[in-house]
Amino acid sequence: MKQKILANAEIAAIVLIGFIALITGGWSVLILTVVAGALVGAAAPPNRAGVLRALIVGALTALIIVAVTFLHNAYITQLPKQDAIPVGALQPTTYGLALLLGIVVAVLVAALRAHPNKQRGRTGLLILVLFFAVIFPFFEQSVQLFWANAVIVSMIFTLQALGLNIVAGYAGLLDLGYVAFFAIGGYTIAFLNSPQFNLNVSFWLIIWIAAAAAALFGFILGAPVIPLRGDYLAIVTLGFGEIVPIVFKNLEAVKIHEPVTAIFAALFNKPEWVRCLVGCTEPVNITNGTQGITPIGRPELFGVKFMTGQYIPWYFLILAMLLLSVFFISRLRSSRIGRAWVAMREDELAATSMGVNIVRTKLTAFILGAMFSGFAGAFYGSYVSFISPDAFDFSISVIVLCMVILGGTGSITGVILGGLIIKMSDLLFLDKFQTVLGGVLQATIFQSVKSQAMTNFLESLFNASQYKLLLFGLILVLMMRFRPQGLVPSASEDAIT
Amino acid sequence: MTTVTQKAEALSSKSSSIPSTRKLQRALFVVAVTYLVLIIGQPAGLDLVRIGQDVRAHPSAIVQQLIIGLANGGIIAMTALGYTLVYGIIELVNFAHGDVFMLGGFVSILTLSIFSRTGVNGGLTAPLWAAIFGFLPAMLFCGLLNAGIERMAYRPLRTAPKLVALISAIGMSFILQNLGLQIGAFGKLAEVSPVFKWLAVLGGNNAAPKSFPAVLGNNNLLEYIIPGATVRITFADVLVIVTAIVLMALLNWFVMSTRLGKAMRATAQNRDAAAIVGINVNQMIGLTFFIGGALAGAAGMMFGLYNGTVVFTLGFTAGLRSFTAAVLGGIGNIRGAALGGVLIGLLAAFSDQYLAVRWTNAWVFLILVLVLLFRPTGLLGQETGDKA
Repeated sequence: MKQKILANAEIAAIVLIGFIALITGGWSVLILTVVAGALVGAAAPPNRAGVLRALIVGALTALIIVAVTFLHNAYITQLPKQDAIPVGALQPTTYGLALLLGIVVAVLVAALRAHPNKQRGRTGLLILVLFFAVIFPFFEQSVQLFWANAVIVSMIFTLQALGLNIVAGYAGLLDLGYVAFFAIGGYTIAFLNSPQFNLNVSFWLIIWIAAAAAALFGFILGAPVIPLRGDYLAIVTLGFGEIVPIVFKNLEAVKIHEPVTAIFAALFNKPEWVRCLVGCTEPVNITNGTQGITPIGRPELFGVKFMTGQYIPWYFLILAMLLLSVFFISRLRSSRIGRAWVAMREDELAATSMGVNIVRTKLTAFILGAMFSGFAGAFYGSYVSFISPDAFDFSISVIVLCMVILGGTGSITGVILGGLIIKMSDLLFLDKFQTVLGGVLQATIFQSVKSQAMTNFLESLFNASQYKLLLFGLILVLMMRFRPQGLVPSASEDAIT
Repeated sequence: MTTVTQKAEALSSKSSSIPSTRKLQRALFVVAVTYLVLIIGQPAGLDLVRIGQDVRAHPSAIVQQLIIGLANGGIIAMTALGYTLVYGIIELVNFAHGDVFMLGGFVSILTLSIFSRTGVNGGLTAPLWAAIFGFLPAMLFCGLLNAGIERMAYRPLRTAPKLVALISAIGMSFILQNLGLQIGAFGKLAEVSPVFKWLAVLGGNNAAPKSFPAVLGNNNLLEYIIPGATVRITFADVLVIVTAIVLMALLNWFVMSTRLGKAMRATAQNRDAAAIVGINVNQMIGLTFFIGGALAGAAGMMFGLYNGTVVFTLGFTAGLRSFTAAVLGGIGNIRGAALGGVLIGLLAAFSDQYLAVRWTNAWVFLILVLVLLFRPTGLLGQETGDKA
């Protein structure tokens, strides 16, 4: 048997990143080569031969990305209906820099992974990741890539995915109503810092209140469903996830009577007997219905005001929240309770007989999982400054679940990857893909089609942004079929059983 | 070991005589919970005074909602049967089933549209025979689609953990929903050529609800019998209820009295044993999916005829309601699904009338949660060990 030079998975990854580069083009080449380099480095075996391999494969990958980006900048931007050519047209030196960065990152990651002192190697990797995470927003702003919003929203969703990973990944409890906690976090900040009740509590306090509120509801949901298992649990949590937005949608005119008087009044048809408790003169508007609550207050730190359109402070805030969460969750995972979660997931009966308190273990999973979603919800509310019930439908629960599954249930690295990949492709790639596809169709098929009606039909049929659901569905089905353990599986297999 | 003795005490007290203090405690607990529900329920439409006035002002509305609830309950029951059949045989919550139902609605709208003409008031009307004939393509399409889904998405996962298949089913549901959305794009073909004129029923906007051609008229049948009746019974009510009863009777006959039905039941009971006695298990599972899909297709047609519109998100909301019905009746139990469907239909109809339309879904889910918490096996379900 001849040893293949590249594994199938590597070829697939290179083709995929190349395709992304072909669609996005422009300055994204620098980001894509770095990401590809990191992936190549991480895929190489952690030894001396691996570093050499990373050098070769990294060079190949970076070369492909650069070549494909050149194609995009030279040809695709010439198609009809395309965005303007990127600011400060790319110079040959930019391509060279991209190539170099890709190779350097690949080699560096592979070398750090192969470092004889594992602890040092990990610290080095962390510093490398942090370095790129810190320079990213400044780079993004200087070349006007317009990625900042998408990246921040992806990080909000990634934070949620990390929380769901506790419930679904570690504890193995499939929660299909996870959006409820996100909604509770969002509405907490909407109540406490907006004109709705004329409150103006500090953001730094609210995120903790929001997390506590979400945790409380995690407890309220978790307590009754402890005896349920498997798909029954999934359905009950789904019901909870449906009820919460309905409640927020409809609590706009609350008026409450005293029940005993109401019973007699109803029986004898004497409405004047009823004693009113709440909202007597005028029904209380709690959530402002479908119109939602706006504007929601923004945080302020050391004199830096967080504003709409100024992404850098927001970016660093969510980055800090994400890093803290990763730290907490990885510590939790290896703590006593974390090991209890996994034990319970693997075999509830065996865990019980080893002295794991199932009730407490399940409840902490629900509470802690909900907490991170509460954080995310509070940040989201403040960031978009607008909360309405439409932002919290079932699809969010499923998207977050997709992130966890795609990345690898129970694996923090995997979940972060899954979160960023799914949400960024949703927000950045699909729209760009739509523009490019439209341009290609315009230049090829549509030119030969004479009738306007036919063009309308084809445009509507090939509207790539309409295929998001299909894409998510395919990801779920294909992942379950071919790689149920996810892109970066956790050390212990079979997270969801 | 105090907890054990306490538990034993609790058990014995439940079965035999309850001490009076405990009786009092329990009664107080029930009163407190009721009081709390009456307070918290008020924003969700549980306004006793208004309900009382409503009942006095329009007593006939109760009968009217009973009829609407029965008709919608029939539709829900038909879809619930698909969930319950599939769960009974492979213990999978077929999340995509609701979307099969939705696509059934789309197929029927297209079938009807081919045979319809523009009526006097500009709307489309189709003859009655088209409506009755229209059940066939919808049932066939949905049956084959459901069997195909099983073949592609579930069969390879049959030995995998149960939740792997459930997630695959959620994915399938999203794919079908997207198909339902993109079918709408073909409405624009109507302007391309007169050959595609019948596609105009899909309209210009992909996501908008699609109106069914008028088929059944809107006459009050009761008025022919009792002139001046305030309760309306339209032809649609009769058609839906009768069709539901006929199809469910057929299903019952098929499952209970035919060789294939017996083989299906055997497969559901014990797959390995069924295979040993020569039953083709894969075929039986495929057949179950086909039957479930066909019922969903018929239900899609009935839903369109009865409610007038279908929309691509229908599968999720209607599917969840039907699943609730299946669980309420006892999932895996065919008669339970029928009973649960009718009960949920009635609950929704009365909630629409007396509580609040906007809160109906919340009430339905609340019922689902309560049923699962207190009777995880449903009304007619049996204890089946590790399922709950």
